[in-house]
Amino acid sequence: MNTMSPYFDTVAIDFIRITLYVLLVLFFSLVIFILVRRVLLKRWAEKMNKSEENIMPNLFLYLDGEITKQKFSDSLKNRFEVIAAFRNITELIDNFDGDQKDKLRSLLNLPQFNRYYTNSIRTDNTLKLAQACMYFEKKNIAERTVINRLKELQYHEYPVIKYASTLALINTSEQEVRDNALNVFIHSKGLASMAINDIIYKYCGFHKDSDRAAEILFRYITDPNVPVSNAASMVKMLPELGFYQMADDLAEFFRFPYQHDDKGFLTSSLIDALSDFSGVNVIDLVPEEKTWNSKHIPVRLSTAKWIQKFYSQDLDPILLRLAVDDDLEVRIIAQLALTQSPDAKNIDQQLDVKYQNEWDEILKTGDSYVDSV
Amino acid sequence: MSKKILLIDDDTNVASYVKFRLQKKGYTINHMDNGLDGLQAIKDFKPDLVILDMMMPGIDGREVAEIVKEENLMDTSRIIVLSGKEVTEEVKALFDLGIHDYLQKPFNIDNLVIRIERALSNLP
Repeated sequence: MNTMSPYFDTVAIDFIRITLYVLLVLFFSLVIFILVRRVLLKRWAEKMNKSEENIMPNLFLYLDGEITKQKFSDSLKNRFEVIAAFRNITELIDNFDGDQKDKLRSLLNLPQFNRYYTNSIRTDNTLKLAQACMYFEKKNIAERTVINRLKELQYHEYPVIKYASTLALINTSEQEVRDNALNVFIHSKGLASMAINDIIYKYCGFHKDSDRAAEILFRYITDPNVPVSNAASMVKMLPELGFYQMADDLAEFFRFPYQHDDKGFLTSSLIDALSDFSGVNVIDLVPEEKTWNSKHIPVRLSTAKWIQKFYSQDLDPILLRLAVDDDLEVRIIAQLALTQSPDAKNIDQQLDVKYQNEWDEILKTGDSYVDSV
Repeated sequence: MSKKILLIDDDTNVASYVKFRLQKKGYTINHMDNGLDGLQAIKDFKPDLVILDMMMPGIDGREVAEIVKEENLMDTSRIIVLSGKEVTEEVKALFDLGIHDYLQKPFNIDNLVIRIERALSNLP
């Protein structure tokens, strides 16, 4: 028996109808938004392409000395041409050397660029901000107002703007500005390791005193307020920068506990770096929990790699433990290291049955097995 | 007849300027922005000289040089390599393949033009 009243039937039907209308309106709004956006993006791309077509011949003529800088400047008619010109000029600066590079660099001082990017750096548009930071990085800024704005941008919510503004500040001629920029950047969270590498590389490259630069880096590495991922990235940079004088300090730091290394990334980086600073025995330096018996995979992996590099038969018992690790990569590296053992032919008797196939493959094919895995 | 040069470089701006400079010198230039099309152009265009970029997506410069050598598409001593980074092993491998010359980016365009002219002047 139907107990629903006609009133409720009508309300239910109205509700369904209204819901359908709302969904239809939302759907069509979304379709219109996507179409309009696509049209706008297409138009923007077309304008950029056309602008490139307009400016490139003049840029080449200027590079060959056939037209003057003023004439090139006059040919930049609108913001699309300014953006396109800047993009192409920076790309060419990165690829060319000598006269062409100097001529391209001198174009960055044109008032059209300065005006456009000085305005851009005051906006909230992320893309414009990134481009403006890039412009001031290439141009080597000196204006105090721009430096102050770049300092503000180091606290931007997007890591890419933090990175771009820091890069521009690192490129300034004042050491104090560079030092402060590095300090703010290195204490920031959410940075990609490539961004850190880039900033550190540039900072150290510009520093007049390389020993002082190494000391500053080490101070940040041991600073508990620096995010551990940043510290780990910096550690990896030390051998790359040739700061071999830091080997003892680094070994000392490795021996002491660092509570904030809760995933093992810093310890793992330290083992990798100490491996490059050959001669530091990471196995004897700290308790086993901090190397081959660590709960963190990156630490066990770095330890296995260290032993592979500095193999001695005394380390076979440790390698046998790592050769049956839960992590495939750790196992493979440890087994590869074990191939150096004078007792390699009898290793299979000491491995669990389930890992013997892996060991047989390693013995047969060595590194190529690792590549295939 | 003017000498034919094939540029294989995914960096369109760099290639455009090199092309611009070499055309002014009277060379016939063809540009391909990837290794695969570059290999096809070596067969079709039959260049006197190839300027080959090392770092390209897909088939990179070294692989192009290896295929050229393996399939005997042209004499590898008529290849000048451009590279974004100095990797000693890579460079050694390229010279083992018989390439004529190697230039590291960033490079001086005048230097490249001189090397091209020198390479072409040695041709029969």
